[in-house]
Amino acid sequence: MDEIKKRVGAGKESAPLTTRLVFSYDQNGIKLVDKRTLKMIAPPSDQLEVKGQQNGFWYEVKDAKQTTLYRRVIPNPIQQFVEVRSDNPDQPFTWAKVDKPAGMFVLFIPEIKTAQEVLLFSSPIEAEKRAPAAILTRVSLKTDQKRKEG
Amino acid sequence: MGIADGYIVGLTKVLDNGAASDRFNIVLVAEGYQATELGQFATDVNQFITTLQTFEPFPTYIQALNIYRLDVASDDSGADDPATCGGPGTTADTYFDASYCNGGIRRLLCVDSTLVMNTVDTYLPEWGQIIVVVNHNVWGGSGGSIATTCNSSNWDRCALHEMGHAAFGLADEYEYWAGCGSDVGHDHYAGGEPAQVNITIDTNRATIKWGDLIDASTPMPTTTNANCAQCDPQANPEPAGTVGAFEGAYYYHCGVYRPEFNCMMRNLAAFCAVCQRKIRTVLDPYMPIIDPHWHMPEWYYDLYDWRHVILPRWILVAYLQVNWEMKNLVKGMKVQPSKAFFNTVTKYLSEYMTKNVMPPADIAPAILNMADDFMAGRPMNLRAGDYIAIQNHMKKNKIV
Repeated sequence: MDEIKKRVGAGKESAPLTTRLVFSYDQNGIKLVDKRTLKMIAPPSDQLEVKGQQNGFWYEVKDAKQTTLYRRVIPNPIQQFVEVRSDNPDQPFTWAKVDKPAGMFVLFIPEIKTAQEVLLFSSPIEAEKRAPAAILTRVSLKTDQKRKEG
Repeated sequence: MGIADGYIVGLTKVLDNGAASDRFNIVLVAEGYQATELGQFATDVNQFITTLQTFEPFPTYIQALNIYRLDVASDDSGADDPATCGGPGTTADTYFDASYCNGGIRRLLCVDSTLVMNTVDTYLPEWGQIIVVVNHNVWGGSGGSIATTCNSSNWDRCALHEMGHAAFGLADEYEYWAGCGSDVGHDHYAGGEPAQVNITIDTNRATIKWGDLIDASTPMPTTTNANCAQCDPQANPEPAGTVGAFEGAYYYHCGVYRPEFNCMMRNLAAFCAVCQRKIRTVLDPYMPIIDPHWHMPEWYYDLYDWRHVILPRWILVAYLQVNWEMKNLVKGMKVQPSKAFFNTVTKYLSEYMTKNVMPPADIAPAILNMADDFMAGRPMNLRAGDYIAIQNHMKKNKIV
């Protein structure tokens, strides 16, 4: 009880915490380059349960038992193809292939006490291959270590 | 090139709806504006805010947002526009090194994203979306959490489209890849169900993701493309704003469907109802919580029988969308849940808080949100989605 009271007291002056992960990518793969905890609100979770095989890109936060605690669907941030503006006002966007894909992207996740790792899921990068998403990479939230899916 | 080519003037909070820790923070960053042109940047930012407030649900949810302007003066005006991509070959010494022709694509306008992020972090680490506005009239831009745009006509709508992707996870609803008439291999989508909320391969009104928004009289699918070798040329056969299943989306002429004929995610029109709902869901946690004492004078607390956790017998469901057709939005409504509701919440909340036992997956976000509120000393106001999730859980598990 005292412990909880202490936490409540402390909480009155503190905002929710969010972990911000910054990744870089190039032709050699994906690398976590920064992990930072910030006093801010993370975007809410999308539906945790994935019904059947889905296409697209999302990330999931898992606990030690691999229970999904948080899931967010986002556009594929690894840009082998990019959406660019066209000159046609009726079709304002078009897609083009990037010569040497490289860049960075940012993921926000809420601070969850039992969170162990974050998994990135992606359909094959080539836009024409609309195959179901599979694990692309996983990052430990406890040790900052990343390991490739075998 | 880079930081030697200019200087930071400072950060200005242009739209102030509260502490940065509590709101979704959009930062517009000046690039390629000389010191004497920063007045134009301020005008550009104001134009963005005006446009933002034109497109629902942002006018309704404006209190969820803070908007900032980071004034950066560059030595030169504009951006590099290399001749290798058909540009004039001009170069500009600018702070974030903006350039067209990235990856060999003329319209792909990029900046040094790491430098942008590090610079914004110095002033506002709580940013949620950064938009770098490049002072150049050649049409171009790029997406992501750190998006880039030129400031020529319609740039503000394009920035909203990019925010639709990066901040709200929305898919493109247009039905072409390179362009109608020049697509190869985009006749028919043959993949599985897309994860995004605003596109689908399902045309069954009983199971489609946005089925609750479809009127019983709307045909399903609402349109079909008679010739999948090309984009569907037909005009909208339904009144504007009709929600259904319109064939052609996600870069394919056939086999994948969008919710409305037009949308910001298709052709820079108003956001469709499904996209609006998704944006509202994302922004809900950033809205100010209504003071329950002001709204509910009869408010009282009931200790119930779980020693540590105090739950109001009257629950305030904040920002509940009472009318699913999106005609009316209330800021909050008071409900008196059943005893079974309290018992369900009590069970999982107390197990989570005292024994660290995770609730069932379908109500885990709701229970964890409530636990967060409690730990932070806030009244436990349920968000609309959480309230509905708990009700659905009870219904599914026949808890009465």
